[in-house]
Formats: sequence, structure tokens, C-alpha cells
Amino acid sequence: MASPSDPSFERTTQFLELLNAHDRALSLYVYGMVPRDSEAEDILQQTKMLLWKHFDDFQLGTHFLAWARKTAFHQVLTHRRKKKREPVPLEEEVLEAVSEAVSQLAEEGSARHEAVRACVARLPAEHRQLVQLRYFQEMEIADIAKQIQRTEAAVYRALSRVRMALMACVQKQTEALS
Amino acid sequence: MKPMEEMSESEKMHFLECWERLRDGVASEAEVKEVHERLGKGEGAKRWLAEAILLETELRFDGESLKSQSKAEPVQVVDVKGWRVLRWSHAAAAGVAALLSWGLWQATQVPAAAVATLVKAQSCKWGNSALPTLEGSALVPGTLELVEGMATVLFSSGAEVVLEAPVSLEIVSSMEARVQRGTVVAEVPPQAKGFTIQTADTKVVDFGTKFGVSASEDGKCLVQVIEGLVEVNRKGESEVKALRSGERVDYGGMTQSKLNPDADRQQAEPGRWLPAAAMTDLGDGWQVVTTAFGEGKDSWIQSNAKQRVTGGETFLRVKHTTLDRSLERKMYLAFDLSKLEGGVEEAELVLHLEPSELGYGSLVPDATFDVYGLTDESEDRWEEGLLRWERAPAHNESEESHSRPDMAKARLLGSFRVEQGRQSGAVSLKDPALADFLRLDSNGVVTLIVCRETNELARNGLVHAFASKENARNAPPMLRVRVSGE
Repeated sequence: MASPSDPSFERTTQFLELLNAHDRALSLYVYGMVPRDSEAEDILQQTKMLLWKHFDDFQLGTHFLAWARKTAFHQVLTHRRKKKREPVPLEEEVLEAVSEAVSQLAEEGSARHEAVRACVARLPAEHRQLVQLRYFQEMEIADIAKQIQRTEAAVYRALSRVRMALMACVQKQTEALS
Repeated sequence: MKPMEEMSESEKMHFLECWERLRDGVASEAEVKEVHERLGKGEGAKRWLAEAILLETELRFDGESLKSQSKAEPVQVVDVKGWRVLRWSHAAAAGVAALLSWGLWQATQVPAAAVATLVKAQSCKWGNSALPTLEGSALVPGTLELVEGMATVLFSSGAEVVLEAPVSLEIVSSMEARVQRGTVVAEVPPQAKGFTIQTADTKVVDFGTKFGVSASEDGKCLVQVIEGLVEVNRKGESEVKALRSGERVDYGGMTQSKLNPDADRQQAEPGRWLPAAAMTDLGDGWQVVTTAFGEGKDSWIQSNAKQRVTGGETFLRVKHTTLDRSLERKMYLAFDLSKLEGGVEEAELVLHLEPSELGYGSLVPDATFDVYGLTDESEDRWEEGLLRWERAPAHNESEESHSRPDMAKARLLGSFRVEQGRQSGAVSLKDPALADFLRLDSNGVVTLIVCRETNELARNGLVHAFASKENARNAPPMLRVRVSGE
């Protein structure tokens, strides 16, 4: 184990500081590309291990988050290939384009967190339940459909509606704050 | 295709839906095309979708912490998701503690990795368990012991296993679990084909399906395929059995012992017990009468004539299904009110749920039970031992009377609800209509008929069971009645 007198101690501290500072943005980035939390966590874990392993290649002063994201992005692609989902053309390009935009937003910080919380609390009970089932309990669409006795298409639609409402609300909130 | 700025709300919604399906891997070709075309249209669409995705990831990532409304609460509920142990405080520097945990982590290499998540715990009571039992907890290999309720474990392979208490399940890996005793229902998506459930002497390999497994420690095992295909490999048998939708295999007569659980149960006091437990004065005019008192009786009828009900069982079964005409079950209760003094002011029917040994709780949602009063008093004198589908009060062979009473001879008094998977505790119905009905009694006996209004989601759904007057562990069906002064 590294001790403070070790030269590697400083390097380790540097790594941890950087990782800590960008942890949320990196996590959000990966979550955005992977539908299941457990998979996202696995990918994050692999990514962090790779980052540590190759930290010697990283030059201080350059953009740590960009580097971390690139590593994560490749982990996501590897993961998707492993799962052998039906091939969807251009999927990687779509992912890349979207993830680019997500990563810009993810750096906006914690004011958003409060805004999201306030907006979730304000949702009508029925919509809050959907959010709860889908995002907090991570239920599959099919299971939600069963539980609330609606069709899967209806659940997809309802979730889109809830998210649109939340987006509008969050935007208003953050505008009011800034 | 219009640029983003000109899209209507419903078009945006549709776009978002398409994206979500695409990501879930279930999008149609047209939907895939729509997403690509929109994103190809320029930055507006990308930015907008990115905002939507960010919001979703925040919801998922921050999860439960968003539920609490007070700002003061710490954000992290529990460090449940594996690596989030490394999410330390948000202080600027990582700090020595973090360094230590990092160092330790390095030293011990990867700790036992989580292979599953406890995604849902409904009315759960847990036994001794080394694994966390909080909803949302990440689970490493180990054993879960569920005493009451229903819990859902999502394996990282995608397989989902619902535990129906009482059950003891060992999580072996993301592709394997072992049922030590009890019942589980597994739902296995295509990507987790090969998911295996072991029991003492039997191995069940799944090929993309939904199936139930019940096992006991002595090697008895029942495998029931609800949908799809599984392979069953029994110790000592060279052939592997393939089971398809609706098929089952029963080693050691599990079904028989489930249909008649009383057979191997030493009945301490057969017949009527607790003769004194009726008409107890509880003060304030409240009195209790159970089905064990006087002319009281309890039993049920079921549409399958082959299943004999004697009325002496320790349980009462109720079920509603439109999927199999022979599995309808309705409960009959009679209470002796002849010793009741004074006018009925208030009344409450109290029943105790019993663990049912038939069917899967996963297949029946929260259930509503309707309680009817028999208004045709000439039929109050039914006998437990003779009560049959062909011969029961307010019952006939008409379609309407299949799942509820003949409404010319009975009326609805109210309903109660049993949450999905709950198989213990008391349920009650307190309704002025019940008190009204008791007031109208003229022959000293009232008959109540209890029917489940809720259908099962698929065949083999749970048959609800309630304690009967013969039950030695749970209180019998009872009426709590408040009467006006002498």
C-alpha cells in the first residue's frame, strides 16, 4: 500500500482528487448511454480501473474528464457489442453525438439536482409513481405495464410525457435560480 | 422533417419515445429511422435529446435521494451500488479515509462483485441474512431468507427472480441461484438464456421464459412453466426433461401435499375448538363472534368438482380467474347472532391471511375482495360438509354466478384489499352496509360470501387463503359488533 513518503502517494492522491471531482459527471455520462443501472455501474467500475491502470499516460493539466469519458465511451461500446443487441445501423454515431451533448450539460452542477428534486415532488401522484417504478426501482417497461395494467406503448408514452413535464419544470427552476 | 424548434409537443414526445425504445433495443425500423433523421437535422435536436437524457440519468443516478423533500438530508441513502463506496464526500480533497479505502481496495483486489440487485421488497420480513435487505441494495453471492412478503431480485444477467415467502434463496452468480426451500418465480429475458435454478436434487435451466420453482429440503421439487421453455435435470435421471408453457413436473408429490397441507399436519384438536371465544364482551358495547360459535361455520366452494372440500380444513380458499373455469373459489362464512343483545350499531368483519400453498403471488396484483351478504335467509342453514359448487347458497350455474353470488339472493356489503404477495396478517371490512345487513337478520344466523374480484395475470396465480375456525395458529373469521345499550 502507498505511504505518504512514497512518490506514488502523490500520484495516487492526484488521481483520487481528479476522479472525485469528476465522478458525478462521468457517472451521469455513462448512465445516459446504458439503460440498466447495474450495467452502468459495472462499466464505471471497469472504466475507473482502466483509468487508474493508465494514469501514468495521463498528463496533468489536460482535460481529465474528457479523457475519462473517452475511456468510458469505449467501455460502453464494448459492453454493447458483448450483449449482441440487434445491430442498429449508425448506432455508435448516434451515441457519440448524444453523449457529447450530455457531457456538456452534466457539468452544470448541483443547482440542477435541487431543481429536479423539487420538480419530482411537484408531479401528480400517478406520474410520480411512474418515475418511482421506472427510474428509482429500475423496473422494465413490460413489468410496469403489467403492474399498472396498461400497454407497454402506453407506458412509453406516459413516461415521455412525464419527462417532458419535468424538463420544462427543471428549466424554469434553474432559470429562476441563475 | 421539421427542425426541432418547430416541432409540436406531441412530436417531441414521440421523438423521445423512439429514442427510449432504440436504447432499450426494441425500436421498430421506422423508429430507428426517425431518431437518426432528427439527429441528423442539426444541433437543436441533439441538444434537446441530451437534455432529456440528462434528466433521466439524474433520476436514475440520484434515485431515492430525490424522493425526500427536505434539503437537510444527506444525499446518499446507502452506498448500495457497488462502486459508489468510492463516491466519498464531496469535499475538495479525497482525504486520508478515501485514500485508505482505495488502498485497501487495491490490496484486496476486487471485493466480491455484486451480481444482483434487490429491486423490490413488498411487505417483507427477513430472516437472518448476511445480505442487505433494503430495496435497491446490491447483492453479492449469499443467501436471502424471506419470512414474509414478496421480494424481487434482478440479476445482472437480466434474469429476474421473485421470492414468495417463506423462501430461502442462495444467490450463486449472475446466472445461477439455488432454492433451499420455498417458492420462486423466475423471468428470464433472451440475453440471460441459460440462467439456472438449482434445488436439492434438481437443476432447472432456462431458455428464455417465465417459470416457477418450489422446493423443500428433502428433495421434493415442483417446476411449473408459465411461459416458454425450460430443461429440467433430476439427479439420478439420465434424461433431461424439456418443459413447455403450461407443463409441470412434480418430484415427490409436491402438488399433492400442497393441495392438502393438512394431511401431514398433526391436528391437535380436530373439529371445533375455542367454544368460549365467541360473544366475548370487549367493553363499550363491542362484542366478538367467530365462525366457531354456535351455528357458525366456514368453508368454500370451487368449480372443480374433483377437489373435495370437507369444511374441516384449517384454511379457506378464494380465487378468481377467467383463465381456467375449473379454478374459481368462493368462501362462505356463517355467524351465529342468536346471543347478540341489543341493536347493531357498527360491525367489522376480520379475517386472517394464511400462507397459501397454491399458486404464485407474482401472478396476482393487489387484490380486491368483495363481501356479500346472503339476503335469502332460507338458505342460511347450509352445512359445511355438504357445501358444493352444485349446491351452495346464492349460487347457480349461470355465467353471472360463476365468480360472484346470485345477486337476486345476496347483496354487496363492501370490499377489502390485499396487497400483492401478502400472505399474513389481518384484513378487515368495516362498513355501515355490513351493520345494516346484520340488523336485518331475523333467524339468528347470517351468511357472508367472499369473492375475489381481481383476476390473475396468468395461469397458476396465487390462491388466497384465510384461517378457518379449525386453524390452531390463527384466529378464525370473526365479526366485531358494537351493540347499543341494553
